[in-house]
This record gives sequence, C-alpha cells and structure tokens, in this order.
Amino acid sequence: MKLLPFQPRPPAGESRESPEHAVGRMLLENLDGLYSTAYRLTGRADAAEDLVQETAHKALRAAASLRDQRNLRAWLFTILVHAIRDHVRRRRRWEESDQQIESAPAGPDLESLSQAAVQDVRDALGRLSPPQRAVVLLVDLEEFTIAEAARMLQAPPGTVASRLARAHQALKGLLRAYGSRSSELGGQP
Amino acid sequence: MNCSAARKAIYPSPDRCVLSVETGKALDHVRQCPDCRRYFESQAEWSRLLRAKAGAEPAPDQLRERIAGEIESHQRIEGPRRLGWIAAAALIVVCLPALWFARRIPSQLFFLALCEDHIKYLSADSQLRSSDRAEIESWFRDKTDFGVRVAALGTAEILGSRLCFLRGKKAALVFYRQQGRPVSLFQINRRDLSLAALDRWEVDGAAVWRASFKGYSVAAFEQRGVVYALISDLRESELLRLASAARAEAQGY
Ligand SMILES: [Zn+2]
Repeated sequence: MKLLPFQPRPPAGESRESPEHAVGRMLLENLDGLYSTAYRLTGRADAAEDLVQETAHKALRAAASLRDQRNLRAWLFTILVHAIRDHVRRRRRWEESDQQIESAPAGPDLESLSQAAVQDVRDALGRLSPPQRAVVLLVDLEEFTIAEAARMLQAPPGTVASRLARAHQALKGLLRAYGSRSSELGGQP
Repeated sequence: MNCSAARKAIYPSPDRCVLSVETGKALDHVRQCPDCRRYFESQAEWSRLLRAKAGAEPAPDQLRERIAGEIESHQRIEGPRRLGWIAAAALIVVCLPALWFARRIPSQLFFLALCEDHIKYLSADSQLRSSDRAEIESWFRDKTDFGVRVAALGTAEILGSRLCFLRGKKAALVFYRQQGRPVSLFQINRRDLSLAALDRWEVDGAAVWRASFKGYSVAAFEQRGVVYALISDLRESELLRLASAARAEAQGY
C-alpha cells in the first residue's frame, strides 16, 4: 500500500507532551522507586503508601504550572523526600551532626558485599540514621547526583557528599560484621 | 593534588560529584593516576552491587491503581478546564453515557502494561506463527469479543500473533518487524480503555493518540469500537506513519 508523506503535528496550541501527561507517566514509571524510598525511610508500608499518594497529588496539582519538564524524575523525588522528612521529623530526630570528613573512605570492600545475604544488606541499610539512609537510597539506589540529592534534602552538597562517605563506611562495617558472624557460625552467606 | 585530596573532592564518583574549584584539578589527577581510577571503578562496582542486592520494594497494586485513577481523573478535569465552561458543559452532556461505563482499569496504567508486554515479547514469541493475515484473523475469531483485523503496515513483515490477558482484559497482539525493529499491534475492546489518557495528534487529518512509556513509543487510534495501539522503539514519526497506514486500512474493511 502507498504511504503518503505527512507531517504529524499536535492540535494547535498544544505542546508535544502536555505537562499533566508527562507527570502522570513519570509517576507510573517511577512508582516502585518512590514507594521503595518511602518504605525504607519510614519503615512502614501504610506510611509509604500515604506519602507516595501525597506526592502524586501534589505533583499532579502543580503539573499545569510546570515550566520546565526536564528532570521530572528528580522533581518527583524532591516532593517525596520533603514529605518523608516532615513525616519522620514528627516522630523522631532527622538531623544529625554533619561534620565534614577528613578524607575519602578507604577503597570499598567488594568481597563482604558480594558475600552478604540480601536480607543482611537490607538490614544494614535499615540501621543507618535516616539522613544517611536517605543519601544512600537517593545516590546509590536511585542514581541521582550529589547536587540533585542535596536539593532534595535541602542541604549543602559538600555536607551530602560527606554524609554519603560516612554512610558507606558504616555500611561496610556492618556488612563485615555480618560476614564474620556468619563465618563464626560456620554458615553460608 | 595527591590521591587522598582528589578522592575526597570527587566522591563518590567523577560523574556524580559536587562541582567545585577543586573538581577540575581532581579530575585531572584521576585521569593520570591508575590507583585513583581503580578506586572509583571499584566504588562504582560496589554501588551497582548494593543496588542489585537491596533491590526495590514493589509498590502494592492497590496503590498503583489508586494513583493511575488519580492521574486519569486529573486529566479529565484539566481537559475541560481549558475549553471553558460552556464547552465543558456541552462535553459533559455528550460524554455522560461514556462516563456511565466508569472504566475499572485506569487507561494510562493499561497502556503502560501494553508497553511492558511489548518488552516481554520482543522476540515475537507467537502462539500462532504466521505471516498470513487471513489465518491470523480466523485464529482470533473465537478468542475475542471483537473482530481482529491484521493490517498490512506498509512494508513491515508480519511474524505471528498472541492472545494476551492484561489486568484481566483481553488484548489481541500481532507481531511485526519494520526496519529490523519489533513492532507490536495490540487490539483491545473500546470499553476497556480510554484514549484520553494519551496526547492527541493529527496525522493526515485524522486523530492519532501518542505517548511513550519506558522508552517505547505508543501510537493509538480507534475504529469501530476497537482501540488499535502500535508500540515500538522505532522513531516516533515512523510509528505514527505506520499507525496512519493501519488506520487507513482498517477504515477500508
Ligand atoms: Zn591518585
């Protein structure tokens, strides 16, 4: 059959993708990441659901006035992280002493992480303070940059980088401890 | 700059670090220092491993459906608001019968599910392997409650077909290959989803709805109570061209 040449175009006055659709699509595509982050920072499934729902509600309401559609994903996580921080603050302390680190942590211990059981890794994450856990979730798991995580956490980037380094050190210590515990028990990871 | 200062300046990695006056010097150091390059490579590997082991906590289905429902109701509100009140009132009168069949599955979620199915069957894992359009149409005859049409999409090769169940609804799937890329054509009963969840475009003077999910483009249209949705990673203009061809052909049936 013959295919006629044509120029596809949106109806007059409409942009390529409306902000409402872009925000809706982003929400659905990132729902697991948003929920995971909320669940791991609050430790509660019901609170995580409420926080993600609140994020969706705020994002959809703000969508129409959205000028810049670049980096919608970071924008959604920013809304979520602010809501989580308010939620956690109401229950316990979120702040921590943020001294700058003296030097970068020693090289990562790949062996203890690769031998660690999945449950031990999740448990170790859960033992970090909420601000440290938040940086690990945002930078290591959700792959945001330090600058993006700093905007979400409303903290100076240097502070966030130091916090991440301390969180990494703490995680490595915990995983090593789990490793020696399981080898003392003679068990497999 | 020594190794320790360079590592501290661009922690945790050269592509995610904080930009400062130190960054340039630190990056220069790392480029020339094999020890620092190894340090950041193993740091990146450690992060990848942590991500793999920690995994994700999947969002519960009820939450997914609630949010998809909110997205859709929001889009229904935003649409009429732009048209103005008189047009909105007219629209409500016209659409009331359609709204009566309140769709149980939010449509955007359904289109996302179609994309996930396209990804799942990228290798065209057919239940019926055939390039014969009539054979495929008759294979679907007692499987769906609507007539499945297998359009010739220009020069695209037809590979076979499959009956899918997505969120409890039936979708007829025909596999094509165009320019070496897989293209899925789904056909779904009109009552099971709404095209309003996508962006309306005009192609050759006819309406085609488009969206993209997970890096794949969707081009959809409706004909005689059936929604046709083409999904592929072809260039979007190419996919819209195929949708336009399919629409023209479905009209001729
Ligand atoms: Zn060095």
